[in-house]
Amino acid sequence: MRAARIRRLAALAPVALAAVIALAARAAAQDFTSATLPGPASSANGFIESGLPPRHAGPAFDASYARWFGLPELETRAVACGAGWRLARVAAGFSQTGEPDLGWSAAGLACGVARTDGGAGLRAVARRDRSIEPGSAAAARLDARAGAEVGWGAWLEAARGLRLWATVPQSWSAGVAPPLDRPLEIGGEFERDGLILWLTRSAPSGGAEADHGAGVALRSGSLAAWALVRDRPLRGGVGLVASARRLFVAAAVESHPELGETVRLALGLGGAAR
Amino acid sequence: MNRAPPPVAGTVVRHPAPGSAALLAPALAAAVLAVLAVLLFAGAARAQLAPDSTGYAEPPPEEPEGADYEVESADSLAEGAIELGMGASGRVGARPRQTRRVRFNDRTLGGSVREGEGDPLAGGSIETGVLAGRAGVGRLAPRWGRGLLLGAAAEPWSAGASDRGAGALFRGRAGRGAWYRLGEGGALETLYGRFAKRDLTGGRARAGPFGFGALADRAGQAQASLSFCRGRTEHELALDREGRWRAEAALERSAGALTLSARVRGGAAGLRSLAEPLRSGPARALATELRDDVPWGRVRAQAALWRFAPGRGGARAALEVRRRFNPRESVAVGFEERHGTPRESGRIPGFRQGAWGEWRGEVAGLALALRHEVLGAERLGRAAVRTVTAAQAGLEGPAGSGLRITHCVYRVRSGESLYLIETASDRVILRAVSGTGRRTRVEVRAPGAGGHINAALEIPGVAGAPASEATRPRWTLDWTRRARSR
Amino acid sequence: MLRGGVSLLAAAAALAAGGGGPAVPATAAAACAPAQHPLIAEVLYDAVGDDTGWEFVEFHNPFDRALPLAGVRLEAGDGSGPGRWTLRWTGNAVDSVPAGGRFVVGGAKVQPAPRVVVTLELQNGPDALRAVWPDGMVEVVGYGALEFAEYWCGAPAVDVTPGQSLARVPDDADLGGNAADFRAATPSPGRANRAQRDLAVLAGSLAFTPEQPDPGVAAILAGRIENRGATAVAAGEAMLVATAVAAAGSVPLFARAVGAALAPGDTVAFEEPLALEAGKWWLRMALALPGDESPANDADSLLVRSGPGPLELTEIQFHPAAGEGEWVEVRNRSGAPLDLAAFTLSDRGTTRGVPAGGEGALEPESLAVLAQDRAALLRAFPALDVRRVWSAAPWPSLNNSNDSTGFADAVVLREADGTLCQRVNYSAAGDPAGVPLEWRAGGWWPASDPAGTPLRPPRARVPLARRFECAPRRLHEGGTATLAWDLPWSRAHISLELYDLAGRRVARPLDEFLAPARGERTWPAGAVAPGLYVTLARARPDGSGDWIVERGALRIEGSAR
Repeated sequence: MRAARIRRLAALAPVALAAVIALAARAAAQDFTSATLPGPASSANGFIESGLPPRHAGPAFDASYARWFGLPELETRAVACGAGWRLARVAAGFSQTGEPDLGWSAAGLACGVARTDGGAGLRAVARRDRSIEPGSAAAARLDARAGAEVGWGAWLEAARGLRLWATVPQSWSAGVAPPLDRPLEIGGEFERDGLILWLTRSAPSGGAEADHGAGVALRSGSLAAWALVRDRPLRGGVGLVASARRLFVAAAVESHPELGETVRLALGLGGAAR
Repeated sequence: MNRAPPPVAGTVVRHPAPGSAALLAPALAAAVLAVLAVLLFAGAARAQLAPDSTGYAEPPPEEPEGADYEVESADSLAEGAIELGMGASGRVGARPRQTRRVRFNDRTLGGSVREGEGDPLAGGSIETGVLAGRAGVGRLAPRWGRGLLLGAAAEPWSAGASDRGAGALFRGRAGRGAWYRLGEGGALETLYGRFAKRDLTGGRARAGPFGFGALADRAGQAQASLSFCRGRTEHELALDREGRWRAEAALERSAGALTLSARVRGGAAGLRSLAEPLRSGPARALATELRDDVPWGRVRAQAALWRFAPGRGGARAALEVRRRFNPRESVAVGFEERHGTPRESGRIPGFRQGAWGEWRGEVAGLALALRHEVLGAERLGRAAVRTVTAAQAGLEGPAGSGLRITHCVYRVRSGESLYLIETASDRVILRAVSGTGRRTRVEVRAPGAGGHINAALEIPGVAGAPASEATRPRWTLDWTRRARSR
Repeated sequence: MLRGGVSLLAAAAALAAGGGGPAVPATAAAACAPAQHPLIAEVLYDAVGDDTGWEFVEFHNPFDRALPLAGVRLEAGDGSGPGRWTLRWTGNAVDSVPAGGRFVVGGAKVQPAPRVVVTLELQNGPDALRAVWPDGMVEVVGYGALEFAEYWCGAPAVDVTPGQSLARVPDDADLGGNAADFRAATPSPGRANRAQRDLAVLAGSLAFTPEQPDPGVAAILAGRIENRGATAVAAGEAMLVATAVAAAGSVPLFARAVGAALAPGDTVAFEEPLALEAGKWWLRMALALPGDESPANDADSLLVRSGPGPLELTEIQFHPAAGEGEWVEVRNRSGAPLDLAAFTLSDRGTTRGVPAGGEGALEPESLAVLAQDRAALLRAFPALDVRRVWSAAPWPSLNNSNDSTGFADAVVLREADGTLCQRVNYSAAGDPAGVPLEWRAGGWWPASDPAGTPLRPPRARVPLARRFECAPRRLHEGGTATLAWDLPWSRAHISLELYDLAGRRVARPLDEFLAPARGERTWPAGAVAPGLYVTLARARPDGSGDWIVERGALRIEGSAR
């Protein structure tokens, strides 16, 4: 009995790893950014961030940290937990970004349905400025100090090992403008024998052109590593995930030619139940 | 939203996992409880796609460029059925527009009436048996022969008009008047109506494959045509009183799954249809299409040359490859190159080359479609004049309910127009957009009050634009019910 | 004064006949240079100011024997109509021109004194002069745009400017016409028009570059020398001597031989580096040529300044935005009070405005303002000390935008004697509208206070903790932010870019511009959508060197669109 349980837990490790790898380090991640890869999310943070529900049900908890471009005044800390029952998926989380004078706190919620070969979900995030100057417009009006956005995501397994997805994180927004304009992103990944290849495209937004990303990940036992490149401007990143039983630790660094490195760390539990 | 067609013999059908329907129901309920829309996909309904999936759609040449265009779907009504519909639409914060419609089809009497302020489809038509034939009044969209006099195609490269004549995908609006048809298949037909601000009288007689038609107006202008239609071969010769002529020949041949069609047209540039002058089309044209319907999908290649007048002509080449996995899953890519202009007047766009790709998938009632297209003024889509990326997800529920959400991001160069296709319960709308923007459309269909309720919310977003009338969300609500009259 | 009673009687008879001379027989032979006769070599008909007493006519005998002037009639022609000749002098029997010599007939003020003193009353042109010889030969010299052919020979000569004479160069020139034979020259009665040996420093050719060098820094004194003599000057024959003269004394600068051989008519330029001590100097340039027959043209001088003048510019408002008019701020950097009315203000043109309206002398180290519109300036800055606000009229309007030279205009301060005090060529590039230029950190930069600081030194800036500071870090949509910098170089090129959190560049609020070591510049955020951005400020030294790059966070508030 105990041996079977150990075997089952051991079997979960690579699955958990795969699930984590199958997450998205979104090209345009924000409050609930995670040190993971594009695609259907497995971590609760990733689900809230992209609206792509995880394939596997089961409780999950993860905490993530990101320092954007090496700026101490731009750090994001997020915690989220997720659960699933049969086809239903749900996740909720809280994050804080930036120093008090320019940062905000955010609460996120995501729900959806998913199987092993497809899923769709909705996500909503509400933000509130961390510091509000007394007597200012922000103090007088809610829509001057808080904002909300609603988005959705869906993914399907088009063929064995081939998954395609679309995510629109900000289909609707109100109040204070989101800190980052996140347009439609479509992408696809192919996984076979521990090797994952993926491509993503983000539609043009604001004054920026459409940008693209590509990456490759390799999984071996309880370790996985990946590398990715993005364009506009051309930059790259690497990441590493280690898992043991239901626990995983992930780290990723993305280097920007002008702005420096963005470091992401994640620590989590679960997310691999079938 | 139409239901999925039954699987065709020889195609592969993925059976949904056992119990999926039962699982989807609580999932749908959970989503509704969470006050968040769950995605719904309705099979066979088009995304932001043209009906023939060869690229973007455009309104017919008689419609003003850059304006929305609405056309009625040619949805047939079973004999003895009556359909009621009521709808409302508008922008958030503005006065809504209401519409009402009735359609009925009896053995001897049939017709439709639409009413609504500002509804471009308002009006109606009724037809009934009279003596040995049938007569009707109301909207007219006939097609004679190749359409040189009545019912021409909107695009120079199209084989036929999609909104003219019986069996067309849409019910167009060429004119209003009365008609009488006698004989099997309309061996004798007369009509009187107002076309293009002109009162016309006309008649057509058919004997076997031959047909002779004539149109005349009050000023004494007259046109006549002689046509030959047998199987997939159609020819027509049209003349007017000044002796100007125009002729077109079309034929289609098949060899197994391969089908080759060709059309050639020639004649005087000055001959313009009395009824539809803006649809007269080019004076000279040559078009060919090769279509291969293979078991796994379809390959189609088109090429066309045309000339309206000296110095005003164009050409088009298009290639489409569609791989079908099952009726609801496919991947398609297309390529198109254009030269000159497809219109008789207006600016000449010149060289355009572009490509598009589309993927549709479906798993257990959850469907996802992705499409990206780019059209550029230089080769390989460079110097893009139009870029559209669209994603659509949908979920089908019980009793014909469903939810679909579509998001597209577009970038259109100044001076160009892009038309996004919206399918409503009774019409197709080509929504004109320009500049850089994005749009989210949420559509919900549910049974209600004995019929079906369709609701849609469209949230536009134009880059950099302050809040204005054009950026306010647009909503539509429509209820339709069909019943048997006897 | 007439000599000889016979001549007097002849002249009286001529005058009694109506003022005009007896008509020249139609058969008289007219020639530009009659053979075997003395020639009219020089005429001064238009002196500066009142001609009376200054006019003269010079006869020259190029031959080797003396030639008589007895009976020759010197007549003045009025070019306004035909046949208007008037006798001015008749030669006496004793009058003659020695071989190779000259005979001057002229007014009492001519120096050296003429052989015959006569008030000639010559017309100023276009007119003519003729010598009618007893044997019928006639020499006509016409000058100016004449209408009647009798008044010239060949072609009329040029009408010279007042103070110059019409001289036959060389003295025996006979090229077939007045125009070819005669030219304007410095009056030389009784002397050769063209000396045999004459080297001259071309008047006005002296130039000093740079115009106002720093003390002890080499500058170039340049000029031109011309061989105006009839014979060549061999290389090394002449010496060029320069001396700098100031109130304290004179300083020899250099003395060197003219290294080039100069044929008659040749000119040669010279350039000589020299360094001056601070102060105002007369640079005197002199030529020393043995046998130089015309020493008057052997020297020229130039007044220059080395080092800064007593008055310096500290702020220039060339594009006022508040209606206060253009103005410049000056500082008395000398150790003594200055009277501003003794200075002039000009631009690149010739307009020189003279200050007025202020009171008293400007004390050492004090500031004053010269304004285009004194009243408007005082309305815009009511706290100014009115005694130190001067107007300058006529005001040299300053240009607002650069031209092809890369500068918009120049502001030039001179002393009353024309000595350059300071010249500032300013560029309007990169200067925000309405912001004056001020002198700080060794250069001209946009003023630290956008409105300017008349009668106040530049606003002191608080040192920055970092190289760049972008403030505020949070601003409303459409607001403006300020980028401040503190760099280790005196001049640098700076730019600012904005990136969103996805790493995409969304805006470039400040294109690369030249800046001093310390400064700040505002920029509008109007075109940037609300959101959180990373600012990327870059600087590189003017010239070569490594970049300094700093990043920061910026949040632009606004509503969701």
